[in-house]
Amino acid sequence: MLEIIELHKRYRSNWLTGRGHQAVEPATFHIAEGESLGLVGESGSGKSTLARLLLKLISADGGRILYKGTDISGYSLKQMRPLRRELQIMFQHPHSALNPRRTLLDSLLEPVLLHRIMNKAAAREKALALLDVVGIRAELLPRYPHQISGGQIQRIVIARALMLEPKFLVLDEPTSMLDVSVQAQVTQLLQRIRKEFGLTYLFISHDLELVRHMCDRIGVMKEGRIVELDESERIMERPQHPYTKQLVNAFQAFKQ
Amino acid sequence: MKMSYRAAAGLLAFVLLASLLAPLLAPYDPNQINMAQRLAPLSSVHWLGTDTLGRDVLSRILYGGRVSIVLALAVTLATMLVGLLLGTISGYAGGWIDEAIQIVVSIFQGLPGLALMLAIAGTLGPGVKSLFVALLFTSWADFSRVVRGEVMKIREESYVEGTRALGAGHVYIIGRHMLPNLLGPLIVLFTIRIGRVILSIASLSFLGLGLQPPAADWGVMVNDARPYFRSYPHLMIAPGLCIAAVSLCINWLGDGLRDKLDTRTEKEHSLL
Repeated sequence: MLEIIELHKRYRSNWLTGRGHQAVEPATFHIAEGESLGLVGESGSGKSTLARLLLKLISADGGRILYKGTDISGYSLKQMRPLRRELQIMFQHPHSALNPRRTLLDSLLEPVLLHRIMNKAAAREKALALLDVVGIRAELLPRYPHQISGGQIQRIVIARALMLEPKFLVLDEPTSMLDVSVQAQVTQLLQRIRKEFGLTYLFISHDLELVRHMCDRIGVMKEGRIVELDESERIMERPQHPYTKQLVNAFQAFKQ
Repeated sequence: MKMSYRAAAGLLAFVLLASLLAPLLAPYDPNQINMAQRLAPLSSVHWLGTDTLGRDVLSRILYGGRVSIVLALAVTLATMLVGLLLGTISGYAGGWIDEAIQIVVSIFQGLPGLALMLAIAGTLGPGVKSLFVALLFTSWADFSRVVRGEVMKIREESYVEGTRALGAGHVYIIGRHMLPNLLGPLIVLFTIRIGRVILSIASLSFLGLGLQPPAADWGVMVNDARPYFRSYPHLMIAPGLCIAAVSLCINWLGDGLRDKLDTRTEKEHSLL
């Protein structure tokens, strides 16, 4: 479904001397339709940058992105627009995920109104149906983001993404800022939705247990490089790269 | 809203209305010289007395408010528009566009305000026009700095990136997501600035760069009254009090509006 070839990005801190750091080393991998690919690695390892590169939210220095076989790396903002419906992203921080000055209803309707897919009444109906799916009561809709909990916001964000009927969803540590009990609920919801709507996930996290649980394959990132990418079970049972071994061992030790 | 905000809004509305209706309310022509009645004390004929040329102080205050307030509003609005435009572009675009704009901003911030105003007045000749240009030139830079900072802060919020991921254009993001969130800080800035502009107009008029003496203006009146302050303090106190009251009310009102506009503090304030 999505294929990445030699995609890379460097951040320059000084444009005179050209000093900077390589955020993402040339990365090559693919995500199959219906698959869930996990990306693990410590903070600053380039997971989020890589995800934003492949959604073209930030521009890459080089490399190609193939979506359903078409090279979209050179697409302009306008050319990307129809594709934006199919490619969505969910962020880590619930408190900044929604505009604080808009009601939840406004935020929910925004995607379809922006794309002019349906009128307001139809959009409202669809929103109510999706709220049912994510388990949020309709009474919350006139409220503002600061008036509901982080878990509720993330559910709203999921419903908002589903409004556009996406095919591919990037989940950038969607549960890391939530309480453990809420984390489990949101994780379950994400799994259910994936089946129900036939979605493809790129799941970013630093929680190996969670990624193993959620994903078919796992990519391990360190210092901007994907050091190992394999099926989840194989990564957990027979890690090849020293860094992966270290991660898996630390995780096993923590479990006992 | 709390009581103090209502009181401030009420007083401000009263002053504005009185200024606008000055031709109807003023008992005398503000520029009518009457040497027989010069420096008259407060009385039923001249409620606030008369000045050195026998002009009725109350009438001059009513007319003077029009100039001070209207000019201050116009200058502040113009400053805000320029600052908002350049600050938003600078903060939103980033990169070399930001750097180029910031160089210009730094130059303007580095220029000594008074010297620049003198130069402008010297070229354009004293009057309302040069006042306007001088105040605009010396204050837009500060405004744009603050706006830039706020825009940069909002740009990093997830919902802005999320809106980009929805396929929204820059104009949509700035208009629908940035400006509404800028409103709170802007109103506070506006009120702080307008109070200062009223004072600036007064001080520039004192230097002979702004409004010229026959005109009825609060700043001009304070300066006219300066030599007589010891014997006839009411000549300075009346317009001085107007300047202070108006700036104070605008500041209070700004505080109230900011709290009202900020959805996050809504709850806390309803408890007060």
